[in-house]
Amino acid sequence: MAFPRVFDVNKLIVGGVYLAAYAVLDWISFIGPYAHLGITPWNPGTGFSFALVLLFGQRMIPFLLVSPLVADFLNQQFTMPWTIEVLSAALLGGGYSIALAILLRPNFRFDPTLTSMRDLILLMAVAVVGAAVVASGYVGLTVAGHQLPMEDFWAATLHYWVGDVIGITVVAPFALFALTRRRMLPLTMETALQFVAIGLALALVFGLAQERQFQLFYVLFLPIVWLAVRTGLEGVSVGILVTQLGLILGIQLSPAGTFDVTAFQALMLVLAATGLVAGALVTERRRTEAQLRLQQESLSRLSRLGSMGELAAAVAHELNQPLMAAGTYTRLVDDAMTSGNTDVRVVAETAKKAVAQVERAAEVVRHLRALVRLDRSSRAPYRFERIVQEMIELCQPDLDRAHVTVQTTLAAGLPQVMVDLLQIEQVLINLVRNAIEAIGESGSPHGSVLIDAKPVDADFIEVRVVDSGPGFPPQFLESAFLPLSSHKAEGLGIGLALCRSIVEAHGGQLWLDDSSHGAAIRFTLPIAKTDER
Amino acid sequence: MTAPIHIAVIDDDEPVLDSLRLYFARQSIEASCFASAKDFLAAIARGDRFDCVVSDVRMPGMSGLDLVHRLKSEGLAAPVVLITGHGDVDMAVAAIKVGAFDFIEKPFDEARLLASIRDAIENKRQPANDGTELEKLRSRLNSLSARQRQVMDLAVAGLSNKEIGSRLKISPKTVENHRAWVMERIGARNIADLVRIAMQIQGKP
Repeated sequence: MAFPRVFDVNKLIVGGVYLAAYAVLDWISFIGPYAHLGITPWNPGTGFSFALVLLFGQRMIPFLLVSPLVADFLNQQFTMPWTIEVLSAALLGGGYSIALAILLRPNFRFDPTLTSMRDLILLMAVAVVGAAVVASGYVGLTVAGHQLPMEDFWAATLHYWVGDVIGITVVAPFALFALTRRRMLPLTMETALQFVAIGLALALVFGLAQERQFQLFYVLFLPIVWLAVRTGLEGVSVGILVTQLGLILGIQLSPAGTFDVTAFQALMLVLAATGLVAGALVTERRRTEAQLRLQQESLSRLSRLGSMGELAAAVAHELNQPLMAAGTYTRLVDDAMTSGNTDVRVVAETAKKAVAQVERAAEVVRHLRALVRLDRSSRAPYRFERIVQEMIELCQPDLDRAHVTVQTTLAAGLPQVMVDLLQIEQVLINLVRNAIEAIGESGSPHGSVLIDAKPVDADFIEVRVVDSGPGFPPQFLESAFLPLSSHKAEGLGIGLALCRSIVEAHGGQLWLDDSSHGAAIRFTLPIAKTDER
Repeated sequence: MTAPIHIAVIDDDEPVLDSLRLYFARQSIEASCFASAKDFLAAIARGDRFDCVVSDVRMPGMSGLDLVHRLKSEGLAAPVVLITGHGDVDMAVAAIKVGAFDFIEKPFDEARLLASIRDAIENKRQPANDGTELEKLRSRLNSLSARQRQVMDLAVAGLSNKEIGSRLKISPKTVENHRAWVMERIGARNIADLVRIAMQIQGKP
């Protein structure tokens, strides 16, 4: 059975880094232990273990089993008989491994990169339940081993539970985001102010701590909520970690016994949970808004495409009329000649009419360019990269359905082109759709389209579109631009003729290339001059 | 041979109209030509009557579809055969549904148009009001596979093979095969026939 995993990196390297980090975190967080046992107010290592398995897969679980032993050995915290040490390490690693294995079961559809509120809640639920089981088991073990009196069971379990849950809540989301997001915080003045606010709140909490103990703790909610609202889940996870580190530092710097550390951590837990949930809400709302915007954009683009479709239909109509009349006239001539019952003058007259209609069709083709409404005002400088990107997005559903991929090789520093965005997008869409159809008709299960672009001189860039289909039929290469010689019922000829008309209207040229593999089309587009920008 | 036929031909394109006029003249059919639906309706108002009306669908002013509506509302019995261009099939299917007799896609062979006109006048394909006939059609329809039925429903809705293919995620070629099979089973000669038969079976006017 294949378990989901986000990263696929060498297991031993990741494991080694994890063990070292776990030991360091364990050492840093070893403050204010409960009795002489390794029960500390916060266990960041546990959060780290969660992130390890969630991102690198269940193959990392063996490291969870040894990490407590390694850390205790390095930090020389073997305070209990070795049997209890080994058993407790097994309980710790084993307990969380089972919890994580459950979380990663396919039917939970848990996304380890925490993309939704649901994922966050699932993670917190598993943390709360898993830590409760591990904490009671661990404390039970120490009681059974006569390391702790029975009457301390509940208090010790509570300490342990709070420490682990806070470790997971503070460290796991931060680590998950840090490793999967390109950027967690916007680098703005506001972000700086938010962290200054965290610092001020901490100073207030500890500065006035002698008189007021926990009463001022709630000031810490302000910067966290600020961060959540403005930066979402990723940003608030940084704020929570910084706050937690500040709290631990403050406690360390205060005279021993000033604080009930576990009570402090319980408050911190509430703060972290509130911040994360608020952040998740904000992130989800933003995502919904972005999706809405995207849908609106694609809707308006679709309607633009619709109007281009109408143009093609109008062209077809313009051509059909003379074609039909020419056909009828010619058949009349044929009929008259074969039946023998002929008035030569009438026949000649009819034949002339047929010729006039053929000329009319040719005129339509010549004036196709005029049909592509040439409104120069809609031309503007565009980055060709952007045009290609938009075109790929528009064609994505068709591409996916046909299993066709688009590869682009655009020269670095390609100058901007002076074009009508819609029309050039339409040219590319036409070419790519032709390629998809050609690949589909060749019976190939998948294929590719290569688009490359480079400047040819000071005035033009050249674009090439090559597909992996069977290429143009030989006779097509000669006649492609007579729309009357459409290769297919769908009118590839008209499409290509339109493409050429659009390119020519821009002052460029379009050629069919005799490529050894697949159909190749080249065309040029004018470079935007600086004075036009 | 047959009784003299008097038809009306409506098309906004002068050469198309002229070529049809010559063609019908050669077939000894009296054809009155009109450059617009409005001119034609004016003739009707003067009391002219025709055995059959041949009309373009896409025209400035009143379209072929509007014309079918109009004739129906005025209770004129003359059957209408529509001429459609590329991409107007959905409009033509809509016209069949409101009572047009047939439609023919441009560019076409005049012989095909003439056959349709004769059928229309002889009222050959009058709805099979006969219960047993309808029953037979129903059982033929039921013998179609689910996929064939889907293709038929979409074709009757006026979609092209290409559109049906992308809707059902099959190739246009496969759609064509299904479609040919459906036509064969149902006994439809063309898409217009299919639309009419589908309407009869569903009990619509």
